[in-house]
Amino acid sequence: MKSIARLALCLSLFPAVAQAQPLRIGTSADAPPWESVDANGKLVGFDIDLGNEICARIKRECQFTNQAFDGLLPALLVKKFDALMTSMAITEKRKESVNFTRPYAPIVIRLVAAKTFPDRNIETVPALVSRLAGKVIGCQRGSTQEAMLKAHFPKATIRTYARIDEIIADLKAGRIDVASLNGANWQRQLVGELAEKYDYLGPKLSGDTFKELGEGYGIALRKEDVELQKQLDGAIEAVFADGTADKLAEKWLGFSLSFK
Amino acid sequence: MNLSLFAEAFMPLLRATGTTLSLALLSYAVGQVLGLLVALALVSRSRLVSLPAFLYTFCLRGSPLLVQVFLLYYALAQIEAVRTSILWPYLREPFFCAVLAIGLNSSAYVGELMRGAITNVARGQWEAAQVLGLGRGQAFVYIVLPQAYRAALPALGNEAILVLKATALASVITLMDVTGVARTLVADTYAPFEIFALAGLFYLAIGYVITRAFGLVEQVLSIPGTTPGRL
Repeated sequence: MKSIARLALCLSLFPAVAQAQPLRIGTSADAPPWESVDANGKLVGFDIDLGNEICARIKRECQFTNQAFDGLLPALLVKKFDALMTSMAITEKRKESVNFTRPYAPIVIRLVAAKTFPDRNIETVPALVSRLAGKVIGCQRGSTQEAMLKAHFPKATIRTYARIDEIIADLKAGRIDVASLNGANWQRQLVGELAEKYDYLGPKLSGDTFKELGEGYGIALRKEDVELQKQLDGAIEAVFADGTADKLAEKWLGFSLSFK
Repeated sequence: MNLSLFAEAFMPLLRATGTTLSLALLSYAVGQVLGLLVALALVSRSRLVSLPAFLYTFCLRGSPLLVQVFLLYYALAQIEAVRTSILWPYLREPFFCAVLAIGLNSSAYVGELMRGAITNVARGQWEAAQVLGLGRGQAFVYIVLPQAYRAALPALGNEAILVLKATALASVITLMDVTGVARTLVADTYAPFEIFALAGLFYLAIGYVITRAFGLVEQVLSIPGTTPGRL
């Protein structure tokens, strides 16, 4: 009888043990303010803070690992990670291989070009498309921007880079005419010396106009982890409901997370 | 394992082999021309000539090619003087930078292997040429160098394959060679196994052609009555 009681105790403890396992999250820490590595080699950013808040709500520890963006989804599929939180846009194409939580931030893409870019007062998307014919645009490889730029700017040359700092380096060197990054990244990058010579070009590009950009940033999960998805969706809802997400957005992004 | 992915990736990768082939051919040519000059400098009796050549091969062989590609492409471009120089129209192009970086790197290896091949040509050949009335320069060009190249052919074939594989690094400076296209396709499809396996097959196929081509050259240039590569 005693041993059965022990067994029952063990079994009842087991889910708790499983719960205590850290949630392994992959991230490409080269996109401040979303995620980056600080001077001490620590991962910091909006995604990291929000991720820790979300993990706290599901009573698990977040364990972030830094890895190049283009290798993240394959790594998730081979179970190196349990989740990806890396300012990743929710798109139809990605949904074919992974599931996403509800979006936790909207998508805004901005193009940046030199202040000497001729006739740079461009207000509409069609005007932007025709002005960029024959120009060279740099963006991150495997990003939704790459898909959007290739689909809607067919007359421009699209160069793809592994890292944001490489895009900035080539923009400064004049190898590319225009650089494409999301708005929050630019808020960090377009300061100081860079801001003296470079400025936004054309209107904001968002998921409402370009379906390739997706419906927002979400946490990517393996398809079979439905239970985890439910937990994370609930946790995201909770951090938005009590204002935690907005506080973090103010701290890191400098803009509100409202989707409209 | 998804077979339809092979079909989907085949044409983009095939189109990218053009970039890979031209990168490999041009880099190899740069490596051969500079490599011979390096070899000549290395065998020179003057320290003033051989020491710089030694340092050149030491630096280029001693540091990773990836680092050299990054230095040439990203680091040089940060220097204002480079961006205003007459070389900038070339250095701003990723293709030129890749050919230059891979070619320079290859020239260091070719320099060393040609140095070995030249010094290994039997002393008697020099002496016989002298007896026949050839000057030092003539003896080198007509007697020694051809024999050095014949002896070095297998190693030069090796180098061609190494250069071919080195071109994969061009994808880190935005070039869409076979590896660059493969990485983009993987980012789109999240199927690294199928895509990279197919990319690997493309390299194997090109490598096979290079191997056969060098085999053929070895045969044509062999000493009559001998079989190259056999005892």
